[in-house]
Amino acid sequence: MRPAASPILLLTRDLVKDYHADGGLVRAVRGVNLAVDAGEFVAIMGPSGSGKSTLLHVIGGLEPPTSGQIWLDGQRADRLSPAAWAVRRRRGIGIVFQAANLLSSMTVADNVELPALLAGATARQARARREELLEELGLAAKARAAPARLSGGEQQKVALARALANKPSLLLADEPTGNLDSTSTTEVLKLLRHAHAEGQAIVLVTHDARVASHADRIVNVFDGMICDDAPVAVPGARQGDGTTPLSQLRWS
Amino acid sequence: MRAACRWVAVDLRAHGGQAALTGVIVAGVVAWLVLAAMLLGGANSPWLGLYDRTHGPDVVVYLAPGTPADGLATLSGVREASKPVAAGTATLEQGGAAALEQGDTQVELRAMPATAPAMLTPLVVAGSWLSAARPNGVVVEASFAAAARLTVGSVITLPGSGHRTVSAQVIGIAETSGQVPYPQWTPGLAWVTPALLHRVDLQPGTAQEVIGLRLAGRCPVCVTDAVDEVSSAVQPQNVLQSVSWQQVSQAMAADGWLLGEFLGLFGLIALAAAACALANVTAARVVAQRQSTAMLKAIGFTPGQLAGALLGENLLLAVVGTGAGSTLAWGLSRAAPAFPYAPGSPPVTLAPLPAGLTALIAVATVAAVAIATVVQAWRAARVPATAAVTASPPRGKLSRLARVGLLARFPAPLVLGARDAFTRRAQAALTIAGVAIPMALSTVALASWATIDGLTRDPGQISVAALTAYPNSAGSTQAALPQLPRNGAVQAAYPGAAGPAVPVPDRGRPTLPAGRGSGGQPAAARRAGQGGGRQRVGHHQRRPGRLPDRGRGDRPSRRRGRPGLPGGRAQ
Amino acid sequence: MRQHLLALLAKEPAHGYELKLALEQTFGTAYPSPNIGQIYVTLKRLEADGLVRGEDVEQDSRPNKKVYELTPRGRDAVAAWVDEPTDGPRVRDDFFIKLILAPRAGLADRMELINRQRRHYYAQLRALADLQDATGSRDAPARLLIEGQYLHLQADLDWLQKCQEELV
Repeated sequence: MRPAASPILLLTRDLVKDYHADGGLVRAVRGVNLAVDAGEFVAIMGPSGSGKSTLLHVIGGLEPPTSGQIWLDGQRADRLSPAAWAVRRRRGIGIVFQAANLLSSMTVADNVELPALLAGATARQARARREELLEELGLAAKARAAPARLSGGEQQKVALARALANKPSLLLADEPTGNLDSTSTTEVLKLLRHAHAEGQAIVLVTHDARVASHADRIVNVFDGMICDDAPVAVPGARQGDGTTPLSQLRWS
Repeated sequence: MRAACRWVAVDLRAHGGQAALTGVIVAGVVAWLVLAAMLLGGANSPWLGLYDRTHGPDVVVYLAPGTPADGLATLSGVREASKPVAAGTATLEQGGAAALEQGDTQVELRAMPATAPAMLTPLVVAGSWLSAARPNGVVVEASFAAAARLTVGSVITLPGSGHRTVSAQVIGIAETSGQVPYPQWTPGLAWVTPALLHRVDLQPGTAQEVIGLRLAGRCPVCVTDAVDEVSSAVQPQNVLQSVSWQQVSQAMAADGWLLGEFLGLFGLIALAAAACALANVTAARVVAQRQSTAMLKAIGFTPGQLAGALLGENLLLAVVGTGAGSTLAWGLSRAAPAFPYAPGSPPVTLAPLPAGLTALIAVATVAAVAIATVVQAWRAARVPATAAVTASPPRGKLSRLARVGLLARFPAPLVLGARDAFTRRAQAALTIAGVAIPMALSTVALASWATIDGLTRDPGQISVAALTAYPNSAGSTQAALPQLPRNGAVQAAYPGAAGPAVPVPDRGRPTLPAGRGSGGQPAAARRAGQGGGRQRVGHHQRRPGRLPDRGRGDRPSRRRGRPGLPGGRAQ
Repeated sequence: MRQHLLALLAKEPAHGYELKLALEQTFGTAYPSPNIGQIYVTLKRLEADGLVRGEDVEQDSRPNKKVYELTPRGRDAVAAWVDEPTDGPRVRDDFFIKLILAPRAGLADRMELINRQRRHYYAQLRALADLQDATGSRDAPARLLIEGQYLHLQADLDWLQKCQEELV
């Protein structure tokens, strides 16, 4: 839940992103104004091709915007070079993609330690952090395994843990449950909710409304523009007529 | 940065085979280059290697027997003086005659005491040195042994006192830095025990004492001055001959330089090929790892870090390979300091490399690796962070030709492979270059070597004149042509012209056209062809008891395996 | 509820209270707590339609209870009900009519309507999530019901998206 008067973590203004596709220029993001507070969980939904993934990439600095402004932690970020963005991502932004998050040539342990090393930790500190994270996930036994040996759900959980390893102020997730079955989806969702409960700000792109409904706010994107941006209503108190909420469902 | 180091370590572990192969290739190339340079150094100046190894002399002075030579070390120009060693010339009656069929049957015998004198002890390259256990043993100098086809175990017969003969057996072959090689200097040299020398009947008037000197300065003027000093000290009439290190060095330089140059060329070819291959392999890796690279960027690797990591990994392998290669070359040079590069030819020594040259080879190799990978590293850095989706397919659609090929039931792998080969242009170019350049250079190098080898062995094959003749009179060659005998020996005669290539004035001594001595001209002519340098070579007289020297032009080039051009380099 | 009682009686005859107990035990929280009076009324109606037959059974210290059993016509009715495919839930025709008519009358903006309906669905999803958290893992019927509702809501949202694409 959004605490009162919290600082704005992310702010975009008139964000525009164009692509060169065969045949000309495609405007994937048209003038998006988005604000995310510290500790807020925002879900971005929309049909395929609506530009929601592109929006996430631009927010994370993976691609430079064509025009518009981005403020991260109060500082302008849209004009940063790729190298400067990389440095910002080390400590401030965690990213999880739909698939192939883990580097296949490294062991799971190396994968999880890498961000810590990048942020300047010593090998010992990185190892300690990795053991802690894998322990929490119950995957400590698979630390030395190759990522390919983990199931899809396990890989995404490790990817999430890795993204959160440096306790970034913002977590960006691009369809993290897109390739998963319902059990794994539930597990990953549990991790996300847990992180959110601990105060992690999350921007999640998803097409799964069930996952999105756990967010504080859902932003709907259509054709590159935001068409709706509203908080999710928390269910009120139970009805007093003796019927359980379940039994109110669709009983003709 | 720790993260980049971790990535390099992981990558090396993951692609260990490839890394090891790169290291081995670099090591091989470096070892080859270092050995080639050593050979080149050894060939260009086999003298230097010998000089260092045997503590050879800067000047060898031949004194009349009995000359007191004690105070020589105290002269200002002299740093060290050896004890005098008795020597003399004897006629070789039997043994080794095959190559002495021109009639050169003289050999200088030097008596070596049990404690080998400094500077005059040669380097044994085959067999063993003289020992008291074998009083009939003789150690022959390498170039003389090669020319006379003497090997360890050959028996030679020398004249003894009375009308007896002394039979001696060759127990070793040695090289020395204090003697100009045979046949540029005759007679050939052999070392014997003092007892044997005593038994042999030397040619009258050829007894002498040989002293080796190390000088304060080695420049030509210093050498000349030192010899003058020595001359004054022992009385000029006692000094029979002196040989400076420059004479020996120049004389030794004729053979083997080609070998060294060719080997160096091959080494550079290998380096170029290795660099092309490495560039290709790295390019393929960058393409294959696009997704991983994008992920690394997403985690927080900067483009500079990625390029640096890739470059650093390859440089690390290059440095390790270079170190291994240098060590290997050094070890080989210690194990086999001299070896004949062709059977029957005199051995070529590996000269110790100056540190500068080794460093140059190391730097050049590492630089080649760096150049080969820097472009790929830059490409890796430019991979966009959202390349997670697709790697770019080969440019160019499936051409009509490929479609026809598939329809015509060519095996699909063949068609697709062919299409890939020609649509991935950069990689195709690198692969083709990597094969074509070495092939072309190798062909050129081998053809050149074969040509030059053929020149020495069978000039007729290479359409070079077997014999060049100069008419005595100054008349035109046209007039002389019809006078040439037309028996079966002369198949064809062509008029030509010759003149001095590079006239080198040398302190008043007359210079003669390069390298072509003929029957009537004295020995001095032969020396003039050696080009370069204002060297006054001291008392260059004919040594008593020596037969007239012949220019090399008189002797048909029948020596096997000596790739020097007939007549010296200054042609 | 008619069909539900007929289906229960197809197994064995029972009286009203037993039917109530059976409903509660079989469906648990998934079935709205059955009202005994409503059951009796339904049974009476069924008897009037000739689908069940009631019989009084004497009891010692209690008032007579009526035990109901299926008639052959009742059996046929149940069989027909089981065999017949069931229509899905009604499409939200209320919303659909609003969407088509209201903008014409200047009553509301289409995008606003869609957004409001969507937010409503999200809220329902959230409620469903809480419900799922509260439901025991062994309550299979309940879990299935929740899953079904999820899928319906997802379908509704997809349809909403379609409306947005076509009409806005």
